[in-house]
Amino acid sequence: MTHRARLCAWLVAVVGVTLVHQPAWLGAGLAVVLLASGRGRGTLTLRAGRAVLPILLVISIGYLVMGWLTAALDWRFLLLFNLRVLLLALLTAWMVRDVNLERALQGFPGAQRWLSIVRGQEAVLRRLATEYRAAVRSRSTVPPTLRQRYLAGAALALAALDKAVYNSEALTQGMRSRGAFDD
Amino acid sequence: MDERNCRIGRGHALCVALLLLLLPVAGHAHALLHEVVEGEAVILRFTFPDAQVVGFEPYEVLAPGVEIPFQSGRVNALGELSFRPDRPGTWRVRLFTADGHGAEIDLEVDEAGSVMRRGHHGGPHNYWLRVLAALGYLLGAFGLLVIWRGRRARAGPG
Amino acid sequence: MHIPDGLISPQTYLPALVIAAPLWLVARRRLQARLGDEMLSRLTVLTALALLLSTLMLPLPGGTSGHAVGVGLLALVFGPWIAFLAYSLVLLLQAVVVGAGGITALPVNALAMGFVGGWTTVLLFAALRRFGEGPAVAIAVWCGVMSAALLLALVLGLQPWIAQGPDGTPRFFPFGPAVTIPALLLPHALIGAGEAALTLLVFRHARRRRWLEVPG
Repeated sequence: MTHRARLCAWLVAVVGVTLVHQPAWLGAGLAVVLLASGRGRGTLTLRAGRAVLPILLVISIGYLVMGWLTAALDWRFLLLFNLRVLLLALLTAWMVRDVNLERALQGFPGAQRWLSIVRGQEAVLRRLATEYRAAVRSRSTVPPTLRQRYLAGAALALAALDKAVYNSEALTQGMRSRGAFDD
Repeated sequence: MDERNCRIGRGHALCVALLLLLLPVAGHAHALLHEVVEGEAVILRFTFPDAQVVGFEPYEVLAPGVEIPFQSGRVNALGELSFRPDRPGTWRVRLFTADGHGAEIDLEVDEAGSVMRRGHHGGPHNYWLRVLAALGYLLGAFGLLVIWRGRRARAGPG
Repeated sequence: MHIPDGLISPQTYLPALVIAAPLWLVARRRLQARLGDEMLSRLTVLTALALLLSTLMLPLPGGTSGHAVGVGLLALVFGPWIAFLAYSLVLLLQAVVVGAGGITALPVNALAMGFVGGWTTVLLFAALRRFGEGPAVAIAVWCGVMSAALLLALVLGLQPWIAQGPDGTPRFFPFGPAVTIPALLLPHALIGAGEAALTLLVFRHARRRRWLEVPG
């Protein structure tokens, strides 16, 4: 299956899951996803679980307490809700793992250009982050106070913003001067 | 007075002689010695997707767990770089090209110094890497907008 | 405050998509009309900032997550339409690339945070600025965050009525507005205050650098 087909399949599956209201079907869907996602399904489940577990716990416990207080508890809903949210999270985690967006976008006009800029920007950002970490580490021989940390953080953020705007403008002008817009 | 001058003169001469004696030592300290080391190195070659060579671009090699580069420089005319890992672990090679492209490669090196496994930096699941990727897509989208605008502006009057 | 997938019924997100789609088209036209090289680079950077801010999530009681939004800043600097479009792009990237938020809930999230949040901020700022710029920015941004949270709380709170089984049991989010409104508004009062301070900082910087696109 091509990456674009996978991306479309994910979209269809996600919408489809919100249209199914039988816990049995959602459970079957969960089993199919777990079987089909191949090796690393444990990690995948863990990732999906970590993303939605707080929400599921809060809502489920809240529902249990409310149900206990009002004596209107429906276990079927609890099952349906948890299965649905978990299945959706699992589908998305699977998509993030197995769909290469670059490949999914191949063939679209302009996409190749977009992706080359994407890769370049990623590298630049990573480098900025590393440089920032190294700079912080080299400067902080004595741990700064909270106030100092806030002030330094604000100054750094604004400086980074300036640098980013400058970089962005320079990049645009550089691309123009090299004739990137001429073909 | 003469005798004193004479003594000072002799003192100077002694100092000069001593300095002359020391000169070869100092000179030795500044000499650059070399030896040819037999051994194996990790060699990486970078190419663009259309097989174009990535020549003379700057790179950094980072030892496992160290942020300060172990080696830095420029790749050769063939787009190759080589380094000799002195410890096992995950070595990272970063390459940045002038037009903003870049690669970051992780190399698992064993005790013998040979590469066990290689891969691009991080997995697709690292949250912050994905955030970074999203930022890249965002900036890319705006870059595309810039290109599109440039084209339209050129096509407009013509 | 993104709503994740699975909490909102198709009876809600499909109409939201129908409402959002023409608004996106209008916003795109506005963007094309006003776009310049300098503005584009600022828009790029501030949208990236909004993306970064909205990825710092913490789960909230009541079923969603809390984080700074960043749309108030975009709206104050570029106007509400462009802010809506830029923030929708942020939400899309979060759903598809980061895997956070939800793709089915995207139109609802975009309308609440991007559209309502952005417009509330801009309109309040215009009304309050004669009392001083600093307080006007802070109050407008705080109210923008709260209005978006209120709308999301209402959307979530209406789910038990909008989508229920034949026997009356809920199929998606189970709690009514009596639970969702305090559960979302109380934490967002704090988040909004943090966001207001942050926006004020960047806004003043933007004014010094003459980045502001909204006249006056």
